[in-house]
Amino acid sequence: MKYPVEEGGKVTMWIPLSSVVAKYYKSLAENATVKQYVKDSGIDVEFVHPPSGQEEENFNLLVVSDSLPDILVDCNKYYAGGVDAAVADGVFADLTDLVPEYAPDYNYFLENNDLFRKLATSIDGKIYNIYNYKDVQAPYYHRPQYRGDWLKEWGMREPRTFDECEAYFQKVLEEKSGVAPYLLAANGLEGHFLGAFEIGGQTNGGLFFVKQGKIHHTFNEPRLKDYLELMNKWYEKGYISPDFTTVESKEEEIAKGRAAAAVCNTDGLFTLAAEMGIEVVTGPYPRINEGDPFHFDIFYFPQNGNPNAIAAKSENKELALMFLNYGFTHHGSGVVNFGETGVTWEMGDDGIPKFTDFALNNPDIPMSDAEYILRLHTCWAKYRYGDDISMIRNVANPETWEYRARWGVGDDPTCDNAYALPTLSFTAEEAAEVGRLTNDIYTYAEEMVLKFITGAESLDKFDEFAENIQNLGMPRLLELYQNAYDKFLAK
Amino acid sequence: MVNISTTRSHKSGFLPRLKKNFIQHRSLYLISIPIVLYFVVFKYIPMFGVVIAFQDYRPGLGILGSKFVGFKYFIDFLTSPNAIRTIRNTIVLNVYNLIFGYTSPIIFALLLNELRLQRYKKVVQTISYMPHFISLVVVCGILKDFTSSYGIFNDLAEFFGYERQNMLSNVDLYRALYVGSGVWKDLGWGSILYLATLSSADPNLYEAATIDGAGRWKQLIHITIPTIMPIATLQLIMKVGSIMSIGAEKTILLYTPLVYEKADIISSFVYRRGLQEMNFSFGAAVGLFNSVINLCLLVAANWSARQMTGESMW
Repeated sequence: MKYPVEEGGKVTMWIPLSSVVAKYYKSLAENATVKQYVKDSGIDVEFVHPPSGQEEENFNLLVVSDSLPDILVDCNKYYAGGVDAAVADGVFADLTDLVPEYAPDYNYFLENNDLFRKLATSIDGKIYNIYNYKDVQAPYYHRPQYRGDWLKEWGMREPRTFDECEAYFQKVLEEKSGVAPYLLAANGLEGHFLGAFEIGGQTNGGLFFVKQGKIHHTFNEPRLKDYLELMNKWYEKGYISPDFTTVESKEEEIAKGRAAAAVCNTDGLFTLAAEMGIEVVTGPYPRINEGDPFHFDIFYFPQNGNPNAIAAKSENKELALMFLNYGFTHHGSGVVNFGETGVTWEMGDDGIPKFTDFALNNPDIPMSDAEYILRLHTCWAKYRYGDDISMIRNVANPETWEYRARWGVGDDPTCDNAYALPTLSFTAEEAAEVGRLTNDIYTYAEEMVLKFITGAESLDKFDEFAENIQNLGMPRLLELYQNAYDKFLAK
Repeated sequence: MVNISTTRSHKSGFLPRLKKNFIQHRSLYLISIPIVLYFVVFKYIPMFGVVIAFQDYRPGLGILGSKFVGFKYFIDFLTSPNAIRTIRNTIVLNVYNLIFGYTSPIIFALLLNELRLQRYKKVVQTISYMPHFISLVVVCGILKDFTSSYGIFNDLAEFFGYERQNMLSNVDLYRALYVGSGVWKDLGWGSILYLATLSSADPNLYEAATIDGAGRWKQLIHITIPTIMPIATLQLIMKVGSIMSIGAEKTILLYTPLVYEKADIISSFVYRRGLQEMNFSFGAAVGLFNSVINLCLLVAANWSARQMTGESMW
């Protein structure tokens, strides 16, 4: 497809305006990157921004009043019954027949990346959405983190096992009065620790995982008891802060010297720690025995969220697809990822775009806002470059990026992401059942998990807990997920 | 004062009477039009929307096109293992709110009313209004900070010999903190209504009572309290009539799974379900269920108030 397109025209787009962008302008149309995108693609765009905080109401109001714009960004979640229902009800268009012709560059990824095709199409292989495409693995931005200066002081290394964690926590209790050794995850289920017991969802907090083709859930695993016993022991010994369920920002607690360890945001803590003049280090996922295999590392699936739909009653479906497709072309993806050509970035000799000094050291726009103003960090669907080269703050602060990457891929040889579960899709009826079961099970289980950890409930009752989980419908929930996963594999 | 007494002639029918009345009080009818319209457009017409509680409502299909499922979502809610607990917690929290949140502004207003030093009274009043203007999110943030193991509440508790703990995670303290913070926030604001009523009390009554030898206490019992009685009764009836509907915001800001046992209320439960899946019908069904109970309570409260005090809403 040739851009700028000959005919041209105008499409309308429903897209929430991020609060950062709203500080600078009323409409995305004023953004320089958008202006270039429009000019280079030859397709004009008019934005419909829902009032902040009322996205769901605004979207549904447009549905019932039959006045949806052409392109609908990230609103599958606002439609009762999900995307399949939205297509069946005549709200979203079925794009299967249009994509090959009008979005050939997007279609290229569908055809050449099998995993992406499975993730970006419906159960029966139809195309309802245009998604972000990002096929780059990156270190996860949450990690176990400790006080580096204290470890040095005591001649310790960053803990590799739970025993080493305990030794560090004990030392904190003895030497640093008033400091809580460890801030457990607020729901008591530390994703980065569960994996050592082979019961962990993923390190991003999901509790489902897939082991040899079978769906598992943390609450259904007998070894959850071992994990809870360990956490209960830590709580009783005073290793876990009594405030762990209500702490607002773990990063701040550590930076302020009120806590000595937590699994939390690496970028946030690294920056705060530098401000407060303390030293922090990241550690690997702790194991029961050093070097034990760990299969729950994060895996970034190539379908990178951000589903875009096109209204079924739109008269501009072709043009809308052509507009979105531009973000997947070589030139267009450069613009949406890096900003205005020649202003914020230039093509490097190695064929990789490089930010200019204007982007990296802009005196007028703070670094935290620059991602949204000088480039389009969040927008409609696009081909996404890796965060290490396409995010201004990562390029400008390489030491923060290095801090995050430590213990990532390669630094921990026995760690892999074999058990990662892709996002699964459900029919409207299934989704309703999943919603009901999940709510009932989680309400019960999350309460019990915390009670076991804090000792409000004795772990002798774990068998009773396991039985109740069954009675609340865990087998049915797993069955629903298994079916969806099998269908996903069979695509 | 406009005289709005109507001349009733029971012989003629409703329409002729309305016509006559309209001609007599044309301007009054004109003035009331916007209010009537408001209620028709925003309160009565939307009532038809409750049908979605009995449907599998999908916005794309509309009310006419969506599938009718009868009481499915009511049964869904009431058979949930958490239904009884959330209903119980909703009622208990509201009864506490009624006991402490309803009476405290009245007592506060009576106390303020007894103050003779006007300047001091004004200062106290102004300070007591302030918490009302602090956003709920901020109030809950402060409360979380104060109740954390290193917070000021624990400093106090430790002084009196208690052990430090995270108070919000303590099931036995949760309701006290929830209701107490509400009382603190709305005490001053809620008293405005009563103070305004009291300022309209006839000074001659107090004078006469003083001459008859009534002390401050007797004046309070026989003049001040009867003055606010009608408005206090009205407030009570309204509060009873909203026992089932308590917003989720505060609960979501304060609770953790650790205190679900006493903290999880209907609206927070529905909110969590909403995070799982968009479901208008489920929300509408629970809302309707609450409204029906509220209506029954309102009628009952109104009836008993009329029996006991002679005051009522209708």
